[in-house]
Amino acid sequence: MADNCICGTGLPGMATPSDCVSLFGTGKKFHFALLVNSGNIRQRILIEDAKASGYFESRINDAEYKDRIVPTPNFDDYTWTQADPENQTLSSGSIKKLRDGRVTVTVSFPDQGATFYGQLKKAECPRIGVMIVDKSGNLIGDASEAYGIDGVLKFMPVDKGSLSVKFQAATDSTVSMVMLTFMLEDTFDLGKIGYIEADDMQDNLLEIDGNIGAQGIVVGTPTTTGAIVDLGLIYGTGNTAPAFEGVELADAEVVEISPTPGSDILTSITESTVIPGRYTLVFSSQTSGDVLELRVTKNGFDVAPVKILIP
Amino acid sequence: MSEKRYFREEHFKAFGSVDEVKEAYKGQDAELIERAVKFWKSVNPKPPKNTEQKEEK
Repeated sequence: MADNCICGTGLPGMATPSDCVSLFGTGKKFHFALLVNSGNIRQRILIEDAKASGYFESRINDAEYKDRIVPTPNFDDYTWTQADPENQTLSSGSIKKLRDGRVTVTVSFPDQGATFYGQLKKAECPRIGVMIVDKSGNLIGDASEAYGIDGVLKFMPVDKGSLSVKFQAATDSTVSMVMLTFMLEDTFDLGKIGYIEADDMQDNLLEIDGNIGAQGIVVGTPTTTGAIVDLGLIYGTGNTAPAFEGVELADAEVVEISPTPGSDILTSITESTVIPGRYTLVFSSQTSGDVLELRVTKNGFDVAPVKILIP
Repeated sequence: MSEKRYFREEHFKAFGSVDEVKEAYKGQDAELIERAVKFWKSVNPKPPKNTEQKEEK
């Protein structure tokens, strides 16, 4: 935050518009992203692009995962707390401000369980940024470069290491829920917060969900030309997972990752008509000891690669 | 169109015969082999018969 004094500029105008001041409302959903994108610049949204229908879905499913936007489910119990400034009291009794208080955001995701807790925990390590969708669907972020035809809304930097997640299992007095807390970086200027109005965007951000995690496992022993893989969502009871159905050739590739990384070798992928989510892969003939990887890319899903070891 | 969603056309065009398809699908269940052979035939249509030669005979 801007703790330093800037001299020689006088005081800025402090009147506010007499008819209406644009204010955003309480938060309902986060859009997270890695703070720096694949081009090594601060993650951002070009405001003109954000107005187009389908823009957010394309960013959620961006082929470059470092550029993806990751929306959370809608949350509850939203708090935004800026701590009191830290001061030094001099012997005369005069109080001098040392630095502005930090912002801490807390929310809870009701009716969420251990799997979602595990997914959120993965946000603890990387340096991430956040935008907040308010209850009206406005998108709130760093508007320091929001003006002009090339205006962008940037993700507000989350203080690395401040993000923490807690899992509250259901008890006699509480429902199962996941709680999330993080702080914004102290260098972030709160005076630069701005937003894109919901009415300016064709996508309804409150209705857009993020991708659902999915994973797979090799069934039986692969051959040099094929393997059987079960794909399922990460959510389930522990011994059962909802099947991940409907994967087609365009969604999948099989590549050798060891010893000679190569391009796609998949000849066909066919789903069982008996067991949902079970796929037969046939690929170009491989050599014993090769390690292959099945990669599935499908809008709405975030699928962990499946390793296939050729016996 | 529908089988193209599951079988890669380029790979099947590269198979020179039904036997090569069967070799690639060796160990798979009979229904899948049948589908693969059918798909191979759809992307490798037989050349039209030379009717002139027939007439000469």
